[in-house]
Amino acid sequence: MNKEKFIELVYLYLMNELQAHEKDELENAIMQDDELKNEFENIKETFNVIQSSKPTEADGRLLINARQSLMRKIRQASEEKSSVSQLIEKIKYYFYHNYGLALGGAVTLVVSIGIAYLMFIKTAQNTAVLDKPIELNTSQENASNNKLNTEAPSNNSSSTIDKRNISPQNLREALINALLSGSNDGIRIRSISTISDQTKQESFRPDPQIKDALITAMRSDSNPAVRKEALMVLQHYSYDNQIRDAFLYVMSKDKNSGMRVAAINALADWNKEQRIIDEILKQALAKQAQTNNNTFVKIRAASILKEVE
Amino acid sequence: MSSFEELVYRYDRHVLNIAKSFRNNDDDAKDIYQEVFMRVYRGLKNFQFKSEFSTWLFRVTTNVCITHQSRKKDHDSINKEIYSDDDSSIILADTLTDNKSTDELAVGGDISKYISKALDELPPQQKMVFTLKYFEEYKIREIAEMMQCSEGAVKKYLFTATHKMRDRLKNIMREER
Repeated sequence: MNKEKFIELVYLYLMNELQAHEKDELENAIMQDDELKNEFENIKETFNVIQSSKPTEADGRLLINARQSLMRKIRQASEEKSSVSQLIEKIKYYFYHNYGLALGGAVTLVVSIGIAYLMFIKTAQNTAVLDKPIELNTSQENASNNKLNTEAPSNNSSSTIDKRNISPQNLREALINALLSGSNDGIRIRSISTISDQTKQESFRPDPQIKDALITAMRSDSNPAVRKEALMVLQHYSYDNQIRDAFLYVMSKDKNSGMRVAAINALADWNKEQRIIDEILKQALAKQAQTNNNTFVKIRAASILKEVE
Repeated sequence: MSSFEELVYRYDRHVLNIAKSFRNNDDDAKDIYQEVFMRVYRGLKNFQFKSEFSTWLFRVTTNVCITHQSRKKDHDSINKEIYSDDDSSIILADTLTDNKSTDELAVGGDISKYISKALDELPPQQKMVFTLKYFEEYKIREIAEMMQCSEGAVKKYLFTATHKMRDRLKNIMREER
């Protein structure tokens, strides 16, 4: 056991930090060696001196005094905290007391705006429902029957509307909506049939909006039957440049060859009645006579041009 | 009585005694006592009871003691005490509070003051460990827990401090003989 290790063990021994067997070992070593014994006595004496000079414990008065000061400090700290909450309370009181009326007015205004907004939204929704395409009553065999169904998007239930009670304006919008926005092919065809019926009446006056809708349907409806129906109805309308361009478009661009044939036939019929062939038509027909991939259209175009010449 | 007051009354004597042993001065002990409990009061809501309350309290106490000692020295000393990196050597400086050197005090026969002054010359951690062991008689394991360090570290502090104190006390012991 070296001296340094011995001294540390003595420290621990005197501090009562050694295990019983370590104590025994150390005591034996001390008993067997006078030098170690002297060193031990020396350290022990120092320990005694240190422990004898232990500072006096805090007396009761100091403890009470310290407690009182502490509690005072804690009270101050909690008062500081509560003074912050008092300030908040004061601000709240001041605000409510002095500006309560203004605040009430502002709240009322905000609530009123909210209610008005909700009412407006509801009205707008109702209008939107009225603007929705009117579904023709499919239970009726004839589109000229006086009953129409409206689609209510909110609950999908159908309600029956008496056509006699609908203004011409609303009827026209309903037909246009049904033609252009109807998701059902049958509805679109029915709406064209209804328009067709109107064209046969003596009091019929061509409506430009319905005409536009028919042209749109003829050019771009996904269903060829709808496009065909629209084309047939448009033949009852007076020939003009708008109709010419639409028919030329169908004649040259429609994917369905039946549509292309119907378009060129319609142009031929118009030409028989009104001599409608102008330069634009001539050029278009000449082009179709050469390039159209349908033989009938090619021959028909060539024959019309020949008739004109 | 609030629950905080109950806690204070249960442990405050220990806290004050540690502070008194560490500083050997009533005013300083009272300052440490107040700072410890104010820290506990503010930190109590965040205390998660993962350790014993007493362990936490004494940990705060040792921290405050060490901080207090460092602050006091900075405040009082004209010449700063400069410690080497391993805390093993100390350069002593006279202080404003007592112009007598430790040897002069020893010659005067006031051993307690001599020891107290010699203790003041130790680095705060060594002094803390020394105080808790010799004066408050805590076990090394308990001291390690309080100071959040290993028992080995506590022993190292303790042996170093004891060696230094023995060196300082050699003269006085010879004269007494």
